[in-house]
Amino acid sequence: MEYPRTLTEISTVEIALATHYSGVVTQQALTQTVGGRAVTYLQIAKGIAPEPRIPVLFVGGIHARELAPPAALLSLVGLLAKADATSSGITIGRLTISAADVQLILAKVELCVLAMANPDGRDYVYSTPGDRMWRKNRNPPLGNEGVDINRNFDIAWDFEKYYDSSAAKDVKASKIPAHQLGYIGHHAGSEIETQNIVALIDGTAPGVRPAEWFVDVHSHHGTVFYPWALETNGSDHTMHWRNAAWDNRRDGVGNFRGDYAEYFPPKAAPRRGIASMMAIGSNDANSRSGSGKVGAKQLAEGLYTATGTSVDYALSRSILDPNRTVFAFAIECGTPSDGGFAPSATQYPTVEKDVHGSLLVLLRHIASGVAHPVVGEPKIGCFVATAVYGDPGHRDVAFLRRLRDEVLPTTRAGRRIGPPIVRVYGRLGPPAARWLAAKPRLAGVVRRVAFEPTVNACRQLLREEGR
Amino acid sequence: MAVSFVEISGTLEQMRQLLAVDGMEVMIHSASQIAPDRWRVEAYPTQAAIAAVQGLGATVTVIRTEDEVTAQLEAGWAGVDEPPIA
Repeated sequence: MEYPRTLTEISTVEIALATHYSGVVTQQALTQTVGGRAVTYLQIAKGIAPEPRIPVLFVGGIHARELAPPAALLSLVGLLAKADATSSGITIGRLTISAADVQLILAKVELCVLAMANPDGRDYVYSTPGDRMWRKNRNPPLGNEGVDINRNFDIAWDFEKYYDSSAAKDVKASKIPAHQLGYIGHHAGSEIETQNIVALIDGTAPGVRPAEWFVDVHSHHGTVFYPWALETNGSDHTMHWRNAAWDNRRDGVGNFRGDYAEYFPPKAAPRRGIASMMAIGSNDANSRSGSGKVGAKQLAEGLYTATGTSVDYALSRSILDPNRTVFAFAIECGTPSDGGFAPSATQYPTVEKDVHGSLLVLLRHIASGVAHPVVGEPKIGCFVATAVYGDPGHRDVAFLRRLRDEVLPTTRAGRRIGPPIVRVYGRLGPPAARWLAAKPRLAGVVRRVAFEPTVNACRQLLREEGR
Repeated sequence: MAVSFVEISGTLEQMRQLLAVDGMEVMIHSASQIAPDRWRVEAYPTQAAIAAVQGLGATVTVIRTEDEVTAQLEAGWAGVDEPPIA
């Protein structure tokens, strides 16, 4: 299945959608790029709503080399409009969105789709001689400089100021224009492409209200992500990106000090549950089961961080404006096996289904008005016990994991002290485990003196309780 | 510049040096812990960058060679009717 990749093809599809489904789809213009190329978006809504619709924004094409997201977003618009025109539902693999749900989405949601955010960059990827791996914009239009739009948003943009010197090295961003990590630009929000997206998020673009839901579609990691991208998530409201007292002191995620965690507004808290729901939508659309399924995780889960991203910018609006809540997500559609950044015509349908599945279940959820799904944060491995026993599958390690994950939460005391202990352990565990793993004799002593008696005592207690 | 697609595994300290390697584009969201002091990440490095990473002591497993990555990137553009822009 061929899919639109060039600017001409993408523009042709947008115009066709707005023309053919003129009662539902409208095309609007944003500011032209430095290269003089048009930037347009589609608005999808039906009729006059008795009450204000929920503003939802989907963006694609920020990174020029990622071919599938713009096409998949446009075909999503086509699916919704066609289903409306034919009074039918949408079925993709195991996923079914009923005709009634389609009507609910079109009635309740004010959907805005900016499919191609970075046309100058896309044209350069396609041009001769160009660069098939180019991800930035083309400002300036010549040479190998250019700004990574997804590092240019006004959220911890100056990463060398935001982090301490050690953590700043773990940021995939650069202040050097031609650098491989992604140039952050002359100043926050300096780029027209960034300003266009900000206008849609903040509701200053024509006919658009401030977004309450935001999804930025990228490729190719096969995951639905939720913020923050810039730090671990925390609950201390004094730890936020604008608090200068923390400048040059924030510790990032890669060194596991755990001194700082970016405040996550509780009103946007069900992020993991919603991201998991979206991932299930992708898996249903591709009828996936077993291994290789799309999952959900936090952007800063791992070793590295990213600053100045669209998703973090969108979430940050929830903190700046107490009357506003923005749920923000990033989809990394497809995998290296699905063609990576450039799926072939035969690989594209799988990637497209990932995007359609996750976004359709999100739209259905938003339109339904039901409570957000809640899912706990990911389980943390028994790092220290694994280092002491030398085997993550050892029966004592498995017992301790079960004690923490299944038994502790069922007791009143466990529910109170469990979460803070697990958080602290998640921070201190890995370095402690590394230290012990390098000292096998000491690890043996710790195992005999501390772990085995504790494990045996706990086993005895549980046996007495019949558990 | 030709790049391959690889999986890199190593210690925390080795992995934290990857972003500073010239010619290395790390897929940062692919980083995961596979053992108490063992991490894994996917990346698009040049040949010189692979040598530099191996010099750090990390293990590099090539998933797709330079030629395969180039072919994959071209495959995405197959069937486009418009002539390339000069």
